[in-house]
Amino acid sequence: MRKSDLFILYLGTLSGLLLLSLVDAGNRSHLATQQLAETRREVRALELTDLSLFTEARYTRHLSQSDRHTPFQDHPLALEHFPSGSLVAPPTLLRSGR
Amino acid sequence: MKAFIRKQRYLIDFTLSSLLRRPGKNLGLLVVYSLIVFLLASVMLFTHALRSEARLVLADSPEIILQRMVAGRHDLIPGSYLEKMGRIRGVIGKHGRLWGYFYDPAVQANYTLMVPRDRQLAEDEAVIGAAIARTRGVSRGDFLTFRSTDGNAYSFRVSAILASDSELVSADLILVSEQRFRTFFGIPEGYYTDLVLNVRNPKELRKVAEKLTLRLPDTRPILRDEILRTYDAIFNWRQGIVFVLLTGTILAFVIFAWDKASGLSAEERREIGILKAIGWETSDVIRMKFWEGAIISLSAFLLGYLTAYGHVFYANAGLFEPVLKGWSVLYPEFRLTPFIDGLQLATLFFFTVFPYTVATIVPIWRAAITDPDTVMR
Amino acid sequence: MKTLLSALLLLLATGLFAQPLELPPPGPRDTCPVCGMFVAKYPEWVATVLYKNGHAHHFDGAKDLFKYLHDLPKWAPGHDPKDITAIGVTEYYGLTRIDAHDAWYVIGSDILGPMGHELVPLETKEDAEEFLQDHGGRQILRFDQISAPLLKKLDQGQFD
Repeated sequence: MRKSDLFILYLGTLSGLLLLSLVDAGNRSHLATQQLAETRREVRALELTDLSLFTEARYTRHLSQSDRHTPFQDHPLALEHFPSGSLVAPPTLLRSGR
Repeated sequence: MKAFIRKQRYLIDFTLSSLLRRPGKNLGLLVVYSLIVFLLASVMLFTHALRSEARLVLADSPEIILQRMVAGRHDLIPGSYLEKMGRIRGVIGKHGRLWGYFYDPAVQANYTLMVPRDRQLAEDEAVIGAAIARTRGVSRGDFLTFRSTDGNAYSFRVSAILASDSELVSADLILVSEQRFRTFFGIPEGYYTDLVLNVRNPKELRKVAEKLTLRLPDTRPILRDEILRTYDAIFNWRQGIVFVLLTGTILAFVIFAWDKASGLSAEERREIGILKAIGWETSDVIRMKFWEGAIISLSAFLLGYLTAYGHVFYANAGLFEPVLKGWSVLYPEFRLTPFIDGLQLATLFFFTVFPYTVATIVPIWRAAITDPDTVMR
Repeated sequence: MKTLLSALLLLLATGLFAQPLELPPPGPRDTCPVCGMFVAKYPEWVATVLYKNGHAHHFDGAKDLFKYLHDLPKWAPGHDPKDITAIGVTEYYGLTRIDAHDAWYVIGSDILGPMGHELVPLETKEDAEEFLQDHGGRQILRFDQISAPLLKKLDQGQFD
């Protein structure tokens, strides 16, 4: 087998995988419709406004709400305090994994 | 056409042999290159998926939330404001919402306590989010005891755990009855955290908000649109920060790649000289170098992107977890739904493959048009 | 007797209990016969004409509905106006479907539909008056006042 054949085979495989990843993405997002619909239902039923991604502090839990604790006192769209917010390291307790 | 393809194949053969003659150097380049693409693609896929999911899921949050401001800070809002605002056309429903935070010293975590409107709970009953159940190690029927602001301890029987499918929005929720919520936090009857207004026609939202600020000047409306924009901005911002942090790495790589691709080593110069001496045309030399650049950059793009895809959507973005998790004790376990932005993918392709390939060709052009005699001497 | 009863029922359905109106929703592939756009994408604007045999035409705004009604042979050849059992428009504030004959229409407002300047349907006179105030409307019209030349002028952004 010539080197160029091998190369074309290799490139073809990788491109095939790339296409496969796109198909996989479409497939998985299709499969997730049910779950997303469930989440949406919960958001509507409980009137939720935020993702529970940043639960570390009161002022980051409801980023869009600017409640009593948020740094966004002026407006929910005001951006977080940078860079101080990003430079403080998490407590050792959390880092050591407990 | 056939002859053209045959020629290209011979060129690829030759290029591959020439690349393999310096395996360490070229392989190293490929690995570093792929790693850079991997990092960029991971950030891109991750933030885009999260942003798409947030947009999709939060599209059903309340249309308008009304907060009361006292001395520039958020404050409890009296239920009488519901009457005080009067009938506003376009508002088809309005009610108070009760929610707040509770810090649990046992696990050093913040919970979001909330009074649900879609279910009736008994006074000692609580429905908890999946992350709390995991962190506290409780299941249905167990009891959770918290000390309230008045010093009393209140026990809650866990009657249900929220579906883990929706953990992305409900990981740290504790749903309790209104009565218990008020006694627990000492919130007097008739006061709410904020008010929710349902507006059917999204076109009327701005007008309703305008009327609200006129009729209740001490309040501030938050529109659903703003919630969605907040998340868009947050993820753009995070993506931006990561890219800024990566800039140093990328620049270092660019210098390295540029040097490798454009600054011809004496050996390469000699190689070109010999090729020309044995009768290669300038255009063939350039084509050969084009293939060299294309092979490396295409490989790096494909390898980097594919590993990034696997990392983000099959390994749950394990590398980013410490960054995202940050200080949080309660972290939702969720599987990202892959949403891929074709435009972003194309941009990544363009910015990885194109510059490198060009960088390899340009200097060759200069070397290739020189006389073989001067090069070989 | 039977026809009388059904006529009475129809009268009840369209006349007395005109609001809200039960109409089939537009499907994802239903297009407006007048402008050819997909209707389901604009749920705030859907207008519907229902025929006796259960067949329905959907529009992405009251303006296209009226254009259609004024020139039925052009937009829906083979359809008889006598076969129309219900005409519904989507009311602006609550997004419920109401009978087009009972609605109040405001023109000249700053609320634009998918086809530009629109006749914005409202449920009551009070609604229409407040809408006119809020959104800088020019005129309140009833079903019978809407004529073909008026629609033409509306397309050009003239309201008087």
